[in-house]
Amino acid sequence: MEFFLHTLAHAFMAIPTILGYNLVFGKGKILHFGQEAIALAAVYAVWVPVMLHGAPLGVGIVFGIVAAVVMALVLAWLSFRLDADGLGVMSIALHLAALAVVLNWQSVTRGALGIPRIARPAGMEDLQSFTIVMAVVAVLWIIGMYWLDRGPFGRALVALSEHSWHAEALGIRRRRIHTIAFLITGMGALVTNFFFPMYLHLLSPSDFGFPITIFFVTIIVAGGPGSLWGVICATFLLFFLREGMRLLPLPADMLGPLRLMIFSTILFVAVWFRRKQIFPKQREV
Amino acid sequence: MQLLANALIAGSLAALIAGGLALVYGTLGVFNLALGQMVLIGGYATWWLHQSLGLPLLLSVLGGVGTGAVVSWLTFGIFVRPFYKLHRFLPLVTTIALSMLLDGVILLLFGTSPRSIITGSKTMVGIGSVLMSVEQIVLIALTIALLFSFAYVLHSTAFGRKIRAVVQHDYAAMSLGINALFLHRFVFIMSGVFAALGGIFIGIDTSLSPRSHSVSRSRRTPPSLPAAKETSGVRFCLRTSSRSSSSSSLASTGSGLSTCPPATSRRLRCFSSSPSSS
Repeated sequence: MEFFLHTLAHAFMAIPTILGYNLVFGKGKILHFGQEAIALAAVYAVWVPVMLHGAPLGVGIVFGIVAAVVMALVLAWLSFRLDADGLGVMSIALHLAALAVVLNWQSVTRGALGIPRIARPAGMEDLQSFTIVMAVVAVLWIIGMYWLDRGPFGRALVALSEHSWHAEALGIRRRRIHTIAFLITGMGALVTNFFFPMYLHLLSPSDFGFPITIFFVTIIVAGGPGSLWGVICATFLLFFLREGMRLLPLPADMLGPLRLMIFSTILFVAVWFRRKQIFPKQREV
Repeated sequence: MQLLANALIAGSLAALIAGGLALVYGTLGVFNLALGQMVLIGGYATWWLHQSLGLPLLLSVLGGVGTGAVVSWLTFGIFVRPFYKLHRFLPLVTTIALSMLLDGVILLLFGTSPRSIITGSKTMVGIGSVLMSVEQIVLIALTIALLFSFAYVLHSTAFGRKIRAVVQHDYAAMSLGINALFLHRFVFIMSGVFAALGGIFIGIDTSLSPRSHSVSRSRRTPPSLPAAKETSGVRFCLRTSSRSSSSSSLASTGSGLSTCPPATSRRLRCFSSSPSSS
């Protein structure tokens, strides 16, 4: 039961950042791998002032919002300046640079030690109540994303992803739509990573590595890029698979590599079956 | 001067590996994000042939290069060719999947311990105020020779002109009778060979380790749940004790190792073991 609740809490917690990322990567077809760069900036902006300098949580949240917005705007700006593959590589570089700053600026971030003793707020101390709160947050986020997905914003994003010039000729402003998409994904990263250190009582930079981005890409590709319900289902399935593998009676030195091989195979098979949908060719008349 | 020599050694390695990457990107327009793992494959294959099977070094190096060529040939056939004509960004995702797969295979076969192809002390040579090992001198010379040879082939031979024609417009080149698919495959295999050579040089000069390439880490479990038995290659965080009350037991982790209870100390030690990883 505890394992079930833990996995549920994990999946619910990840829903905002994954659906936000799905909006940019899946629906907008923007080759952006910098989701964890936003998460790093936001989460450290929240918890460094609160835990290390005694600032009120509200101040930390404001700092987190500012950091997430700034990082999202930087990535959006890069997406306007660079070709798609250039953005892909640059966003990976931005993420690794952010990680390097966090790891090496030890006087501010405590480096690889991370920030311990992050307490859960009142009413969320036990796993059950934490999972319920995360479920509520996830449901609210899903409703918001559904509203965006089905509304003019979602249609404009799809139009831009299919043919940017034609969409702009019809009055859709690419810069505005893509900037909003990046800001939403930034807020998703903030929401997820606001709760994550509380859940563990620890903020550690090793939880923000590039593998997490790859895991998100796997979820989006497996669930169907841009598909809200598909990605939600894939999130739960892959989280249960990932966490469930901990229970396999295998030696420690086999489980890690085996997990790698299983998830890489899932990613490859998903790309194979969705190779015409991930980056579709422009429609021709 | 020593700094310049060190830069030359590091630059030779980077030039060898990045040269292959640039060639593939220029010809096919795709990024091969599994190139780091191909470096490891070449190095580990050579290590295995030399250290485990006891083959002579030259034969082992040839075996390592051959393994790199075969792996890159398979990579092109399975992970690149079915995708890059559909969209040139697709191999970016498929080669990420391949990099994870190769990481898993390397970790299963060779573990995480550093492996040196040549064990024991190296013969150092002094050139003026610069101190370099014989292997490093050979590495620099071979890299320069290889890159110049390839540049010559690319710019001054009919075969090189065919490659450049394919780079500029593969369909136009095909209509002139040039086998573009063969050249795509050839260039991809050459990049794999260069990467394997890079791995072999790393294995000879220092040691091979999958530390900087692993992608297996996942987010950790909360303190009250069973620890994840992960072997990521980046670092292990296998906590052997589990606690029922997470908040109270973690209250003492902030101040440092000396004040922590045993389980927490282990965990903190594990975090601080490689602060510059990733």
